Amino acid sequence: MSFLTESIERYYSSQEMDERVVDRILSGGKRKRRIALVRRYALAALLALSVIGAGLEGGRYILVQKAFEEVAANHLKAESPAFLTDDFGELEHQLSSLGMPLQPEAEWFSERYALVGGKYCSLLGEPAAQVKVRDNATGGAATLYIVPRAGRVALLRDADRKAHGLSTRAWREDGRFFVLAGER
Amino acid sequence: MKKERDDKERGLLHEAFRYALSLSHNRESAEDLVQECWLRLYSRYGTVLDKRILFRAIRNRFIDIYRKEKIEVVDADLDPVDDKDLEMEIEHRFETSRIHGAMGALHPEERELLFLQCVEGYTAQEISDLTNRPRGTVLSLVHRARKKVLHLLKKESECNVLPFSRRKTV
Repeated sequence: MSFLTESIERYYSSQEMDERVVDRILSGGKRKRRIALVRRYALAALLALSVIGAGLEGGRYILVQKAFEEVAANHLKAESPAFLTDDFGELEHQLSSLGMPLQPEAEWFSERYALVGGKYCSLLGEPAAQVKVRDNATGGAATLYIVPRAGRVALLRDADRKAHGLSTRAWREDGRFFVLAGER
Repeated sequence: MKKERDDKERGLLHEAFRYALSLSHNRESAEDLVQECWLRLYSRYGTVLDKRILFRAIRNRFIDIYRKEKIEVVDADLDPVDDKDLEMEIEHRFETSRIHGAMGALHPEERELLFLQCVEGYTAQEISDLTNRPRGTVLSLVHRARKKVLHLLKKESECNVLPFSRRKTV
C-alpha cells in the first residue's frame, strides 16, 4: 500500500461525526420509523374501513332491493285494502297500533296520488301499513308501504329502481320509511 | 440485539459521514447530507443497514445539490511529475492537515474516488459499479487525482521552507 493511500485512509479514519449529531439522527430515525408505522397502521385501518363500508353499502343495496321486490310483489297481488278511506287521518285511526303518522310530507306525492285505503302489513320483518293509492295522472293504482325506521329498515336509504317490472321509489321522512311501487 | 443494531447503525453513520465528507469536504454539509439521506431511507424502509444503498443515496443527493448550487472547484496547477519519486520524497512530511488541504483542492468526484479506493478498499470495478462510470474512466480519474494530491503536497512542503530531500529507497 502506498504512503498516499495510507495517508488518505488515516485522514478519513480520523474523521468522526459528532456523537450529538449521531444521536440526533438516530432518534430522528426512530421517530420517522414510528411515524411510518403509524402511517402504515392508519392506511390499513382506512382500507379495512373502506372494505367494511363497501360491504355495508353492498348490504344496503341488497336490502333495498329486497324491500322493493316485496312491495312490488304485493302490489301485483292487487289485494283489496281492509279499510277504504280517502283520508289519511282516518286511516291512521284504523291502523293506530302502528303509532305513527301515515301521510307522506313529500309534496310531489300529495300532488300526484290520492288515498284509496289501507291495511296492516310488514316489511323486512317490521310492522308496516300497506296503503293503496290512485295515480291522478294515469288513473292507475299504486301501493305505498309505510314503516318505522327500526331494525334493518333503519339501514335503508332513498332509492329509485325497478322491481318485478314496476317503478319503485323509496324515501325517508322523520323516522319513517316509504316505498312506493306502481306503473309510472 | 437492540444494542447490536444500535452499534451497527452508529458505525454506519460514521462511515457514511466520511463518504459524505469525501464528496463535500465540509463537515456541516457532510452531516446534513448523511442526516437527510438516513432519515429518508428510514422513513421509506424502516431501517438502514445496507451501506451501498446509503452511499448511493448520499451520492445522488450530493449530485442534486452540487448541480443546483453549481459549486465551483478550482483546479490545482499541475506540473508534470513522476508519482513514484514524488511519493517517496514527501512520505515523511505527511500530516493530516496537509492531506486535508490537498483533498480540498480536488474535484468532489476525484475525492470520492480516492476515498472509495483508499478508505473503502473498493476495486476499480466496484467503484465503476457504484458511480456508474466506465472502469477505464475510474482508473484514469484515480490516477489524475493521486497525481494532483501528490503535487499539492509537494508544493505545500516547499512553501513551508522545510528541506525537501529525496528519500533513498532501501
